[in-house]
Amino acid sequence: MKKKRERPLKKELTCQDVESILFEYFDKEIEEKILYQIERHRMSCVTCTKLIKSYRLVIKYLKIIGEEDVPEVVHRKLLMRIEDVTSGKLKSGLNP
Amino acid sequence: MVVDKEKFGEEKKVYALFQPPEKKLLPLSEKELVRRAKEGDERAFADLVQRYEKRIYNLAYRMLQNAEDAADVLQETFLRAFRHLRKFKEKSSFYTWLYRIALNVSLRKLKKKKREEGKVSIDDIGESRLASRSDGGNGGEIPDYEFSLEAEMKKRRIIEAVHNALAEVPPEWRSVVILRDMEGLSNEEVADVLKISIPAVKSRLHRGRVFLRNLLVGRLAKL
Repeated sequence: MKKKRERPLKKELTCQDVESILFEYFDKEIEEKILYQIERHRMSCVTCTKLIKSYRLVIKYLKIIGEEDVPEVVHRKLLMRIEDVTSGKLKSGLNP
Repeated sequence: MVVDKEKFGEEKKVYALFQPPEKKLLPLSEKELVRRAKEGDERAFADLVQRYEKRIYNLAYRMLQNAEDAADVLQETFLRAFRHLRKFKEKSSFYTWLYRIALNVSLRKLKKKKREEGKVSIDDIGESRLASRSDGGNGGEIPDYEFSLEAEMKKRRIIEAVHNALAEVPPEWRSVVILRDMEGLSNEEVADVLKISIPAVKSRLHRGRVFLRNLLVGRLAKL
C-alpha cells in the first residue's frame, strides 16, 4: 500500500494548493481529509475543475495511443544481425 | 535461374531459428532464458529478442518519433544487450535492463540530432512552458473524444496531436511519461530503469504531464 503524504491541514485550499498536490491526487497518495478539501474547492472553482479534468485526460490519452508493430523488414534485419553475432562471427564481442 | 544454395541454406537456418513467437518460443521464464543465453545458448537469446523487440521498438519510436531511428535503436539495444549480457547481474528484470539500454541509446541519438540541428535547448523550452499555467485560449479545457459526435475520427486526431506533443516534451520528462503512463511501469520500476530516485520519477512525471497538458489545451480545442 502506498504511503500517503501528510500535509498540514488548511481550512480552505487555494488554487495554488490544488495545483501543487495534483500529482498526489492522481497517484492516490493523498489523505482522505485533503481529498475532501479538494473536492470542496472544486465545487466552487471552475479553473481547478478544468485543470483536474484536463490532467486526467492527458493520462487517459497517453494510455490509448496504440503500439506500432515492428515493420517486417526491420524485424528480419534485426534477426539476421543477431544471428550473425550469436553464431560466432562476432562472438569475440561477448564480454567476459 | 541459379539458386545460391549456400545462401539459401543460411537463410533457412536463420528463419528456422526465428519462427513466429506463438509457434516457436521456448516455454521458459525470462530468468531461465537469461541464464541459458549467458551460457551461450543462441536460441535463448533469440527468444528474448522476440519477446521484447516490440516493446523496445515502441519505446524508441515514442522517444524519437521516427521509424528509421527507432529501428536503429532497436538493433543497437539488442546488440549491446548481447555483448554485455554477462555484466547483467539480474538485480532487476531483464526488460528493465533492456529499457535502460534502449533509453540511453535513444537519448544519445536525440542529443546528436539536437547538436546537428543546432536547436535551442529543449530544457529551456520545457521550463518556460511548464511555468505558464496556460489555458490555450480555451479556458484550460481539453475535449474528451467520448462525447464527440464523430467519436472515432476525433479520437484519431487526438491521438495524433498527443503523439506530436509528446515529441516536444523534454527528453528527461518524456522518458518517464512513456515508461510510466504508456508502458505501465511502476514508479519503482521507472526509478530502476533510469537509475533515479522515486521522488525524481514523480517530479519528472508530473512536469511531463503538465507540459503535455499545456500544449494540448490549445491544440485539441482547434480539432
